[in-house]
Amino acid sequence: MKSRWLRAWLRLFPADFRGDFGDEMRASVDEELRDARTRRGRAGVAWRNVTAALRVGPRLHLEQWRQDLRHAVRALAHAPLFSLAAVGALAFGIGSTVSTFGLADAFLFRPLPFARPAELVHLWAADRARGDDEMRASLQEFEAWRSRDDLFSGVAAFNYSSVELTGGPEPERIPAGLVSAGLFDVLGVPPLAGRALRAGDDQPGAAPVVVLGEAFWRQRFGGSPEAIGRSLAIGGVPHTIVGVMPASFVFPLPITRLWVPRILDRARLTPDVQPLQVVARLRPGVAPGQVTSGLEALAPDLGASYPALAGRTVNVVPLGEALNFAWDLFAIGSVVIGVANLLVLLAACANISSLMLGRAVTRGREVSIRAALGASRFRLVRQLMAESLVLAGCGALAGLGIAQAGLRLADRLIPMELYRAAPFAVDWRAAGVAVVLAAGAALLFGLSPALRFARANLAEAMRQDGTGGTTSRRSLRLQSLFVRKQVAFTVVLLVGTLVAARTFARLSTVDPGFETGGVTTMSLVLPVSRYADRAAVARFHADVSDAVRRVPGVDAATTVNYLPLNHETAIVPVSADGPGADAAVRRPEAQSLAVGPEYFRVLRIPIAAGRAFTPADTSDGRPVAVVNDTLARRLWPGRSPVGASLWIEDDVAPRTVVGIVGDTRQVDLGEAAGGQVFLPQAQSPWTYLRVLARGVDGREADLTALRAAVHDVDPLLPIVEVRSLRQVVDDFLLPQRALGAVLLVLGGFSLWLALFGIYGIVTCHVADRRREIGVRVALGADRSRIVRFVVGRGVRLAVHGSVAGLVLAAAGSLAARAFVPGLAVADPLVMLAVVGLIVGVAAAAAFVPARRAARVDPLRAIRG
Amino acid sequence: MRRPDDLLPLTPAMFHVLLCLSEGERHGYRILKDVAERTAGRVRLSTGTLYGLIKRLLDDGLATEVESGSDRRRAYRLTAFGRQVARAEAERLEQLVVGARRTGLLPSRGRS
Repeated sequence: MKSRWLRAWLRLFPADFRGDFGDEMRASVDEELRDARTRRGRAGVAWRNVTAALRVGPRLHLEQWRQDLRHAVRALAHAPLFSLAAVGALAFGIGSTVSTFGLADAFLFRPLPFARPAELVHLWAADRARGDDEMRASLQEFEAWRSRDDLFSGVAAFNYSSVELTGGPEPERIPAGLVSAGLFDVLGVPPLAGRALRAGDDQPGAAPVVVLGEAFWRQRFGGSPEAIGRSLAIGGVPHTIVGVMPASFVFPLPITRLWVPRILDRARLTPDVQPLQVVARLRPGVAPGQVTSGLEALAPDLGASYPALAGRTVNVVPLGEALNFAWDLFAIGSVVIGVANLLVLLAACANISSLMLGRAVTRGREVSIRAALGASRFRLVRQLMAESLVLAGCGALAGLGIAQAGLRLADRLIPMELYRAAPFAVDWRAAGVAVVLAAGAALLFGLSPALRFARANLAEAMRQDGTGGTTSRRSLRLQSLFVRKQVAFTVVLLVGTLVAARTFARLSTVDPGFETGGVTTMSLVLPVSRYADRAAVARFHADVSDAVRRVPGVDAATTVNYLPLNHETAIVPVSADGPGADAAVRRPEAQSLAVGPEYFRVLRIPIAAGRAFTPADTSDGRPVAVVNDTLARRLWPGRSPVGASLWIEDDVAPRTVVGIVGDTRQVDLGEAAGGQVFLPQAQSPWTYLRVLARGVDGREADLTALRAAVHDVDPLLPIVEVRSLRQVVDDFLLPQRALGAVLLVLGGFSLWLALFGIYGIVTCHVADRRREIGVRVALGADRSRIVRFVVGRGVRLAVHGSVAGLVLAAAGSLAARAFVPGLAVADPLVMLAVVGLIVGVAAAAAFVPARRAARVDPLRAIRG
Repeated sequence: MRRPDDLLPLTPAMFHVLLCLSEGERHGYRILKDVAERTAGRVRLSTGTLYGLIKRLLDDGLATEVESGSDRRRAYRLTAFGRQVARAEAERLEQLVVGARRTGLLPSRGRS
């Protein structure tokens, strides 16, 4: 009984300490107990010793760890190349995994920043016959759904929108949420200050109010509570600020800055107007399936009352999936990328493990001496583990730095229009992931060499002076497998890098068909409130072009609805034969652009035949169009279309083609240019427009003059996205550039891992065969042959891995071409270059241990 | 080279252990008893605390082990450095007491 108690008590002290003092301490406690005589006294002795152990034990443990860690840091500092390689490999593996986690966390894992988010659903209207199950709802559907308060505790409508702030020195367009009054209650988030919207705010005739987002409130009002009750001019109309929502309230987009009520006006929102997105909170215990059947039951009545709604039913989806359009893509993507990252980390661990083993072998004598001096096995394992922990800790820290940089890059590349529940950041969750990864990695690469070492016959190790005997054939085979895999991986990545680089180089040299230099672009949106009819919009187009043209230095100015190479276009069906002639046949499609008369001059697009538009092509004149070369050849093969008729979409009357222009690239640089049809803005005026001015570049004075010219025409209009056309095209190529850069970094890292892997294996191999090599040297083997023999082994690993890698790369590049049109082909030259590089690197990595092997002193090697 | 002052001040328990060892070599339990007697029971070390202190003394080079022939227990002896440290601590304490006398906090006592 007593001895069991004592043993348990001793366990509170570190093993080494127990080894040193355990017997004495036991004897001492025995005597203490004997001398205590009374029962009470013995209880006191026990109590004092237990509390002392609880106090002293942890301190001793800590001290020992500190010593081990200090020792580990010193040992690692003596091997800077190894340490750097290992930390770098870990940092990269951990960093990329943590970045992926950070993205997945923001997009997928984090619950929506609303109360009880699992109860929130998005209600779409659906028209199964037309195969469209994500349609927006009419006011009538919204009200019918809202009436089902047995299913929902609240239903609200919202829209992605933007508003013009007109009160400041310069009007400005900012993203806003257009929401029904109940929205904030449905989402269950209280305002930071003031009040949210309340019933009645969304009824016709209500006084205009606005709720600000925290960021906007801080930026505009310095976070002052006095902002509440003040007025904000939106589209020229003063709105009373009633409240502020906290920054954590992200709805419906991360860029949404404020919320204004959508006026639910039955006079304007007739059943054929279907603009509303609908969010609802389920009553507790109600399943989404119940909601679907409950709401579908309403559909026949709705269809009977409002013919515009006939055949429509409902589609219930979790709110998170509706807000995050790319939800499914992200889910698949993060699994794939996450697994790839873990594999990279695993490969890094395998390589570090083999390097540590090599180190342990060469340090065998030091460790054996320490063991002989009485360090316990456990202590030895712990000292080796301490090195692993120091490496892993440094790797985790550096990895977090890499993750931070990666997430910052992602923040720039991933559009803010994609819903995320929180900003990308390395927070405590990400740090936790890094710690877990680092600990796992340390166990993975540290434990096996440490245990094997502690188990190894120490006397043997001392006698052999670290010549080997510690690496089993099986583990060497396993490591070879890892290295081959790593080499294959490297080949894939490097081929990918070169393909991306070639693709980018090719895309950069593609002639877009227009001149990018010397053009400035501005983006405008005309508010419907002030530009209600087509004539007003058309007049604005003419006026703004004239005003900009008068700016000193401007040679030509125009408006257009969609910029080239800005991921935007409209596609319309076109025909030369009129509607009905081929109703059953699918008509060819063309990109359609509404342009001002000087569009072709501004972009220097050549006019091949006929004429460009003139100011005389107005809505009063005959409808005209200009087509590009490709469309002309497709619709009128072998003859000139100038003067011919062209039907666009469901036009009842044809347009007359007045000119042919050169092809330009609107949406893509990789594929051949598509057919294009240009319409005069005056006949097809858009309220969404870009102003282009040739002759001025990005100088601040020029930009100011351009802005002033626009405001001469309409002082209330916000101007956004002022960029040079060259910048537009650069931005278009950014993903390709980023892809190339990421692949290059990954490929370089992978090459580095492969290099150290090969180095580690060949080192182990040489250590294992040291005696054999000694015999060969003694028997007169040429030293250069030994170098060749050892280097050959490294090269063989590289070649095996490369073959597998080439097969993968070829398959991968074919698959990628299916998804990414315009990707360059991974041609044999590229592949050969990559393999050459890898084999060269492998030979270099193997050369170091090879030279060491050739210098083996045969006498020592054989006698050892 | 380490100076004795670097290790000051000592904890009272540590000082008592040093005092005890300054009288000669002792094994662990003997130290416990000596300290209790010397302080009339006011300072009672336990085995757990004592061996934590002994390890510190050994690590810092204030004491060394002596293999005692009689039984399996080891005895400990003060090193020269350990003696210097104990003396330095005693002097430090004396300074404090002198200071306390000078301010009248303690009754002053003529030198004998």
